[in-house]
Amino acid sequence: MGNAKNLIEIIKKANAPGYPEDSVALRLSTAICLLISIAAVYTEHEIGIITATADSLLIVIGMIYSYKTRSRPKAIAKILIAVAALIIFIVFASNIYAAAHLGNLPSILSPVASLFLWVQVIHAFDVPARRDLAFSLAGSASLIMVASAQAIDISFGLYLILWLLFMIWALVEMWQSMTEQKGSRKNHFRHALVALVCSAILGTVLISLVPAPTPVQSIKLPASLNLRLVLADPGSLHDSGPQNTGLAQPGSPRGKIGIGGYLGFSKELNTSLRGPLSNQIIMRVRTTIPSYFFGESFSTWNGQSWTEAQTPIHTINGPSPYVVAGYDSSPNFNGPIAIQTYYLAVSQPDLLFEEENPIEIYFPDIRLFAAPGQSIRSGVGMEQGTVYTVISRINRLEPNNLISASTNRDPTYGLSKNDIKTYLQLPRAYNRVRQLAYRLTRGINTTYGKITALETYLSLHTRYSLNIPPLSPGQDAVNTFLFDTKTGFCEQISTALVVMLRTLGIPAREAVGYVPGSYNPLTDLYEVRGTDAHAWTQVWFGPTGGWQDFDPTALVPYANPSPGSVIASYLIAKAKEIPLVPTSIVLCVLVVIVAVYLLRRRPRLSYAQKTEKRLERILKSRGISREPSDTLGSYLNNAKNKLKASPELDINLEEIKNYLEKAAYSNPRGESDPRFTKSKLKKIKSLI
Amino acid sequence: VNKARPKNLFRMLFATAFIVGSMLGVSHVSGSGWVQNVGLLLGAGIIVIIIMPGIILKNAELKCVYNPVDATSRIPVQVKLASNIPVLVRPKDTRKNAVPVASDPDLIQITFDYAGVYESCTFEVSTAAPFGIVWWHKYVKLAFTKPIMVAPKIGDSIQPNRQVAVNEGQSSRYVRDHSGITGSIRNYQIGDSRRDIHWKKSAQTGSLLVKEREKELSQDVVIEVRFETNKIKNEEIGQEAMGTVFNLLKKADCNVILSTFEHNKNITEPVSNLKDAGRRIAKAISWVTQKT
Repeated sequence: MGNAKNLIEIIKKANAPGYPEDSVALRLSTAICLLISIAAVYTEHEIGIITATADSLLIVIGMIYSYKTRSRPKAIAKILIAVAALIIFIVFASNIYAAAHLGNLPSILSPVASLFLWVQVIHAFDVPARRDLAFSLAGSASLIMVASAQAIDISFGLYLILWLLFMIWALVEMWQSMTEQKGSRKNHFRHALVALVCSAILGTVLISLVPAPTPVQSIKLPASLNLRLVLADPGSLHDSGPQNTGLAQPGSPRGKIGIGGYLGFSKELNTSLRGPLSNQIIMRVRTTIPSYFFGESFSTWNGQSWTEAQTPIHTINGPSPYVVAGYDSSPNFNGPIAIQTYYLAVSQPDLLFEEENPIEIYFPDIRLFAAPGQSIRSGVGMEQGTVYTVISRINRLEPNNLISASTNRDPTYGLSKNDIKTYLQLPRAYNRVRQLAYRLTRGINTTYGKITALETYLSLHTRYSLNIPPLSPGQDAVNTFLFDTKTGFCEQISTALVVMLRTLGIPAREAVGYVPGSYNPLTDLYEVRGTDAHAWTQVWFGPTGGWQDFDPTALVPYANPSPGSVIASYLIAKAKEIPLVPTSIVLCVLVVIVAVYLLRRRPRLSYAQKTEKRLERILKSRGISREPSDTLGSYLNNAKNKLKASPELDINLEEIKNYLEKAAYSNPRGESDPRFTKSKLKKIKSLI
Repeated sequence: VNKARPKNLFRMLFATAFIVGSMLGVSHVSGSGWVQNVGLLLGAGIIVIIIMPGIILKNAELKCVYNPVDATSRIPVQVKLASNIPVLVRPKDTRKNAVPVASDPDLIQITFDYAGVYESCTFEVSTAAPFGIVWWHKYVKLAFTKPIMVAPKIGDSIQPNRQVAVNEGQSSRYVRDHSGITGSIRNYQIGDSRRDIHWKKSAQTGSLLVKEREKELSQDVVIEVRFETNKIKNEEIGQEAMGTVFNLLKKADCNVILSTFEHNKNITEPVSNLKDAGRRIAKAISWVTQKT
């Protein structure tokens, strides 16, 4: 009995109402923090617009109600709040039961966000004391955390910065309230600014030191569709059926879907022209091992264009995750595992990007399609917002292994007759190319050695440029590139290598996809842009090596280098090595410090001193400069003599001199009579 | 006096480790860079928030700008403190709410438990600037502008049989008193009662004159007070001495002479009011306490 009483006393003490908080600034800043965090959660699609608007309004109403009733007991309101809390927890439990799946982390984020949000809403109606407001601030922090779990782009940083600023304001106001508003608010904010700068520097150091997070394979990896649009002709990389959604269109020179001018990612790759590529972000990729994001490969060359192999498309039945290892002629490797999650920023063709040997794919549909050349296709439109994850096994051999895998071996070893025919196909004899290839690889008995020799030739004798005029119909792209223009872009360079290898009897094919793009250290995502579209060469290295990537374009220098462009490209390359976000944070902090220092150092001129400067400028415009040794009197006397001043000018100069001297010596702050000084200066200006 | 220390440091470190650890855990599971980076920024912020009040407290300069000279034990007295940085202050070992002190002097109550002469007092100074989350505190021994003489409370008067020494007729002197024989007339001095002004003579002479009343006291009463090393016992002795002086002064029929032992010698001097008596007793107690 006694223990129960003690327990009740302890609970009563813990729940005893605090002193009513009178600070409006603290309440306002707390409410703004909550509203910003709600906006962040809404932006990351955790809640809908109706919930976000309703919650924001209720929080504002609740905060006002709490302020008005802060000194009054609220027994009935507390009971209502308790009932509301109970309802919220029941709803949360039912949501979790209905929506959450074992091991599927994203499936619980939305119910958790709703729970946090509604707890904040009902809590807003009972925040009479400082500690209650502190709880609201902590609640807004938890909402920001929930939003950050879904954030994939840098725009979340804006919410974070805004939230931090208002959080600092709220915390400073909290300290102000604790000290009963003693001490200057300016002083408190100065301390807060120092804390912010120190936190930013320390945070930048920590972000730089801590390695990027790695998703755990044991949980269900992200995969979602914004909109499910079933394609009429799935897996075909074009969408011309009656249910044309327009989402599965390949890129075009018009840049219809934002990729802009790239002619890959369709059934055909035309190397005779290339439009300008947009700088728009196409997708963001979280990857444990950065590599080229492979889209598709081409095997049939007609002198200007590549087309895919005419082999049937296999259906891979779901559900997700799809096990896709060994669906093609690719052997099963034992290399490291790469987990890559793709977040599509624009609508794209029905193509799933991957590391080249996918073993498992998380995709929210009932089936996928395996096209020839290790390309994976979806049966639904790849709309903006689509998320999928591909687990691949990396098989990137070191040069020693590549040499041993190809020394004194038939390069076609391990391929079927049909595949040999496909990957050695050439539309014509290519005698000149063949002669060149044989001459360059004479005496070399490994495939790897031959590739290296050909790449070296390309790097020494060709140049990279996007400004290539379109080829005429019937003009061979490889012959033109190797023997005529000797300048080309990645498709032409890699095609030249493929054709040279095929003339040597080495199976090779053209691959297209994206290079990783720029890494964003804040989101831990690679931001892939239209300009990152790329083509490279794949060479067969037998059953142990499979298809290995070679990128001859990387070795080819830019065309027509001028000193300016070389320096610029060098500087750009060096600038790209600088980590952008941490450097920007440090630079911003330094700029703020220097600006504050300079502002504090800058002497503040009184109105009279400013007037004196204006007068000096007027006289200087007439060639009368003031020497450092000149007093105002001597300077104006000198001006009168030089200007042969009229009596009116003389009087005006004398009056303004008297005014300025009086301001300088009788009143340290200077008299401010704008009307008088302005009229005098205007008069003097007109008289001289 | 001592270094600034954080309050509940381990609790704060545990909370920081929990927040940052859970965020790193979530980022590890999900692979989300934002979660990790927000967690690290938050961790950095909390570390700064934990450390910063310590630096601010180290730079806080607290000083006493005013204090009274006389006080009584166990009765609060107000001193004025000022600080260059807003801090919360309370006397050491008290459970009272701390009082904010900033550059404008603020009053703070202190209570002395025992009589004596106090030249300084130890305060607990704390701050959570600039964010009010983590508290750091330190103890500062603050010198008073002038020593505070804390007298004991007025206790019970000593019984006659316990009176230490009463010497009759050995000396006598005159003190001003309203009930006495009217003597000569003299010039008015500050402090003279208006009732003693001789209005008629003043009117005649043009200057303010007062009637001087004289009374011959019948005896000198010497109260000999000796203190020990025990503070509690000294407080009792002091209270009795104060009570006795109070009673004797109230009767006003004798000269009250207080005999105390300070600086290895007896000091036997008359006291004319309680304040004098309190100061003498405070000094005597202080001397004994310091000696021990």
